[in-house]
Amino acid sequence: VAGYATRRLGAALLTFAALLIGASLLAAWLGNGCAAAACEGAGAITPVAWLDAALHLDFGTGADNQSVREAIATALPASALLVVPTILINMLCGWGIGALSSVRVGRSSRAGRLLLALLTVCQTVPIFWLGGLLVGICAVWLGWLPPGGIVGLQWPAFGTAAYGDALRAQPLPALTDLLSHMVLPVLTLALATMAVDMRLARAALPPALRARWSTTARASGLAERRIFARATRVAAPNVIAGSAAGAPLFLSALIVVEYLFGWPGVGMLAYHAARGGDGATLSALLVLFGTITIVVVLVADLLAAWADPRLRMERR
Amino acid sequence: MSRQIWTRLIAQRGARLSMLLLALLIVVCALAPLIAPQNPADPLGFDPAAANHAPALSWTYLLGADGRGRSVLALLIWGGRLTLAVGIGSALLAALLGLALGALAGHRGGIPAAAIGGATDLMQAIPPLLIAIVLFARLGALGVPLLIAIFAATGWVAAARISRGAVAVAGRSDYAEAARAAGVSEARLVIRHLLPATYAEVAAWTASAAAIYVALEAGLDFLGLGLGASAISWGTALVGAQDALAAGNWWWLVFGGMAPAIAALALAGLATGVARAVDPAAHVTPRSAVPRAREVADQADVDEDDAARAALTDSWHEAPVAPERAPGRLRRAAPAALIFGAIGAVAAGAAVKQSAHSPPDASALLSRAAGYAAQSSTPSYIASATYEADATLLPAAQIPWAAREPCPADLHATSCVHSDVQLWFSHGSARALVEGGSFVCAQGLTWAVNPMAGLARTARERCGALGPDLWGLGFTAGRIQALLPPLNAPRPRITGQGQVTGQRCWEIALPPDGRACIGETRGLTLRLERLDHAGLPVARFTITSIAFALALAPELFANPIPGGHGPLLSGLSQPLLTIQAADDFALFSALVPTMLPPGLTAETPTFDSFYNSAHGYALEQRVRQTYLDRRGRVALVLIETLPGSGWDATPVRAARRVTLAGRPMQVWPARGDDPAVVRVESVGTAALVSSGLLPLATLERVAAGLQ
Repeated sequence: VAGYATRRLGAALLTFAALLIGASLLAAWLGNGCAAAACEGAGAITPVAWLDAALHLDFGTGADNQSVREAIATALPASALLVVPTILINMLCGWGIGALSSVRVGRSSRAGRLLLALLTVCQTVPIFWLGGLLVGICAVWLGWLPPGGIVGLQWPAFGTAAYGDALRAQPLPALTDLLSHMVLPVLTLALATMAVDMRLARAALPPALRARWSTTARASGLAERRIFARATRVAAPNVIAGSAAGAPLFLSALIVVEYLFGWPGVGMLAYHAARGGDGATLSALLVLFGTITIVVVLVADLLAAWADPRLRMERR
Repeated sequence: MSRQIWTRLIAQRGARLSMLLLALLIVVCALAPLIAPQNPADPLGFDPAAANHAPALSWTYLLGADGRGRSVLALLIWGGRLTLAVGIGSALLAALLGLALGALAGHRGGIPAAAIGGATDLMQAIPPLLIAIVLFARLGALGVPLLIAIFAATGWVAAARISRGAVAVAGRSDYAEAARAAGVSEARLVIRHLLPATYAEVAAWTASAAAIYVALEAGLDFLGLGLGASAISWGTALVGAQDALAAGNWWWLVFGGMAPAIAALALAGLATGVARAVDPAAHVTPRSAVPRAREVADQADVDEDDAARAALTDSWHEAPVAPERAPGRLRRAAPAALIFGAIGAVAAGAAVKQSAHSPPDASALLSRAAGYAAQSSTPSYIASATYEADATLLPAAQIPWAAREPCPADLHATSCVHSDVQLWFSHGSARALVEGGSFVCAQGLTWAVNPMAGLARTARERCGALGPDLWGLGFTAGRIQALLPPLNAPRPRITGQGQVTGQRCWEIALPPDGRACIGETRGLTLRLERLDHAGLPVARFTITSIAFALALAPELFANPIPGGHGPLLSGLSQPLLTIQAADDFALFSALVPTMLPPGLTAETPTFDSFYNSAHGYALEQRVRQTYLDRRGRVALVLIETLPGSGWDATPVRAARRVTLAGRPMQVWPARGDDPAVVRVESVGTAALVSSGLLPLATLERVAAGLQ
């Protein structure tokens, strides 16, 4: 595995370097975006200067004269509130449904197929439409959930010190409020991306269950439950690697969902930066999104390699 | 052999339905000028008065109207041209790029393969939407070709993977050796013998990619970061639809989003169909045979899953699993690609074609301009406008605050008053910046905004009255507005041509003493004048620029939080702190109470804006000071207030009169959710509002301690 890991890591580092260079050229091309008088350090940026600063995690100042790093640091927790639950739901529901529906190898599972069809439709239709319909039904029509925003009107703005205080003073109502705002965006994001995980699970499990070693295990009297557990272990890395490869489209969806729900995360930051021609923020976000994808794909690939006995046994 | 694939393709019910839907959509979009009830790109092509028209049994409003009065059906028919052109065009270009680069990498190996592999990794690391957004930031609205290029630049990777694997495997096969032995050149070998084997698979991928790009393009335009607001696409057609949803207009979003959804689903269905038709292992029931639907579906499931897995898990670095296929058999599957090519070309060609205007109709021009000027319709736009008038028409007593300025050359007066106005309208929500004040319509009520104090509700008025009432606020703009003729005439006629801010406009006489010049070349240009006896202009309203169908940042209109928190203020860049407010601030510092309860900390004083109906609707700004207790809760708010004003902070219930330290004051004890209030005359009138943390007696003592 060491040889493969080294090769893979090297490739990832090369990609990262290319990403940084691309972002630096882009930063120079985009310029600072803010009026010369309003911003500190405005004016032409050379790619080298940008690279130098970026390697010290300094991405300059954005259009509103706020440090880009701070702006991203403020926005990241909000985005994490969407992304982490979505990934958890995808793993639990997507993989779970996919795995369960693939257990019945010979017989067809009607419910599983129906669910897959439904999720495929959700994945194919434009995500803003899916989200808009959910808002229309759950928020406007039924009035069960707030249509947008991250915290209710009675709370201070999310991410401020005042909100932290409020959260500490009244943890239960504050958390309930936050959760109620999270439901619709998370649901939209999950519905739009779950089909991939479900398909992957459905594709990866049956071969493992039909594999010769499964038959051997069955013949030697191992409980079906245990066989299933083993098959899951064999299939999981492929599923993870497959999901990880979908990261760019997931992040694209995140931008639209954050805009749709007025969610103050990195997607919204990208939207505002694009509107305001804020090159500093955009190039930093490009690095951020690219790095996330590279790291996620790398980790998933390494995980898959590590879990694959053929690769683990490889001696070089 | 292509016939066999075709037979296998149309043997599938899903594929038949998908192709039918797709063909229908393309034909309908191609025939847009003939069958669409309106042309939404034509600023005179729709009726602003029909904004939010509910679905009805007429061709125009079959699917209802959007927030500007455009028929949703027309938006769908016209919008499909751009979205389909971008979606299908980028998938095709990506497929071509991918075929070429993949074949190069697969056949050559070595440095080209490594370079292409590196590019693949990089392209896979960046969300396609982000690239488009970045380019939008620098270039503004992206054109159709550029958008196609962006999507293709990120999308070719998957197609390249397919062709690379196939070419690499087939290049080592016996028949390739045989061809080489027969003297076939390497280039010819790849192009004529190896690549065609991948056409069918790439065609299937192209259809599925087109499905993704249709949805992606619509999403990008929905954000307002794609083709730009003036283009009619399935995405731009829905800008603002979500806000309208809250106002009860559900048909705009539901029906408007259905077209891209159907197109994407049809393309995805076609992709599945093609993939199944070219897969020799798939069982496809011939049309004539007894249907064994369940079996087909089961099989299809597995195929689809395998395809999905193959598409997602094959990393570039791992050995690709290439299908062993005879190349000749599938190379005539290229018709599928040709079909897409034709579709793309037709859609792109149709999109480029512009519609021509006929000379405008005077009454239509007038009613349209009236719709914008009176904000009776609820379109989404930002307008910059200027009011100018002969100062002698406005008695000094009416506008004591307005400065007299030299007049512009074409205004028949010596001394003028002038006011710049900016109006932001977004689907029922409005914000106006008038002479430094800012008004917002949110949650159905009118609010005054200032960047320091947040929002203060000016009156219990519904937003419907916001437009006309803005003019009645007593600003210079409102005074000048009163001088201008109404935008209507019994039987209007175009009397000539003029120019407004460099744009051509049509002049219309408004008897007895008015004249309008209305143009439609760039949104709406409007000049409305009042003429004196000699027929020369003495007062004027000019819309210098208007941009509509904009994606106004939603938070500009959302979350009005009376406490001053929330993102609403982030959109405001105009310094609204006037000199008057600064004066008040000095006044206020004399107001600071001497008898504050211990443990309270003072926050930085802020300003509330309101209009004062008791003083001719002048904009007033008053200082507000908040005191927090040790736990950071609001304990006491001290407001410099004006009785009878819109921002009075006086409860509408009976007060108790108290005299403390020789000072008469009115006291309202806390009741229910209402806070306790004490009002006392000091330098001005001060109101003390307590959140209930302080006993009433303390509140009264503080009031008595005011200087």
